[in-house]
Amino acid sequence: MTVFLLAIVSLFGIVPSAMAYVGPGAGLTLVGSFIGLCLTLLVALWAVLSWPIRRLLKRRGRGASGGEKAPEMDHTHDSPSS
Amino acid sequence: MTAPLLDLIDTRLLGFLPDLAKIAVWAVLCSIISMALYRWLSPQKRLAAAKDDANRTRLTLSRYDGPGDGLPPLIRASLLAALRHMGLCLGPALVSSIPVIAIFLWMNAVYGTPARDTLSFGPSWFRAWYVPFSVVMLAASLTIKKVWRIV
Repeated sequence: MTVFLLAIVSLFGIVPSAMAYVGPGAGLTLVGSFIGLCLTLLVALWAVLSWPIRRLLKRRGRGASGGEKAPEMDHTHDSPSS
Repeated sequence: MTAPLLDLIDTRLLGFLPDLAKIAVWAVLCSIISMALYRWLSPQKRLAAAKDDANRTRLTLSRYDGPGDGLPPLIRASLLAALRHMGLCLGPALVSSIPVIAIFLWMNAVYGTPARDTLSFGPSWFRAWYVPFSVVMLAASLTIKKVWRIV
């Protein structure tokens, strides 16, 4: 993998310009997978950035619906019978 | 660029057609060659599995609602699945584009002259041969992809 990455970096570093074609045809599948990769990056970024907010909202929701019961459940875990 | 076989097909077999129709025929031919080659060269079953895996991990990541330390492994798995999918189709897609490049270059030599505008309206770039060629090839490739269930 390291050799592959080094080869890619050195090739792009040496060659001033390259002619290539990716378009209609089999390139469609490659474009599709590239869009999938971009989408994954966006979802990952969104997951990281929105996680604190979603966590906060979840806690608030839990507190509003049954916040009183949560400590009781914790006590049952601490009890000798469990 | 000289290509006797392509010249022969263009003049003898398709000679009775107008330029626009000839370009459309070449575009369909290019998409058939490209997609058939891709289907033959690519590991379709592994590609389908990799695509499913990439979609599934992305969905899991987007719906994740657990503790923060569970996020990095999910992101890693999701990115790896997407990269694996892309890696599997990169080689076959590039190789199957080679015949298209060859025909593309030949067509540019034959139809790329200013005297052979394919459309009689629109701006100059729109009249170029590669506009109808790309549109027809895109439509044909999408149809072939769906009919042959190419991943």
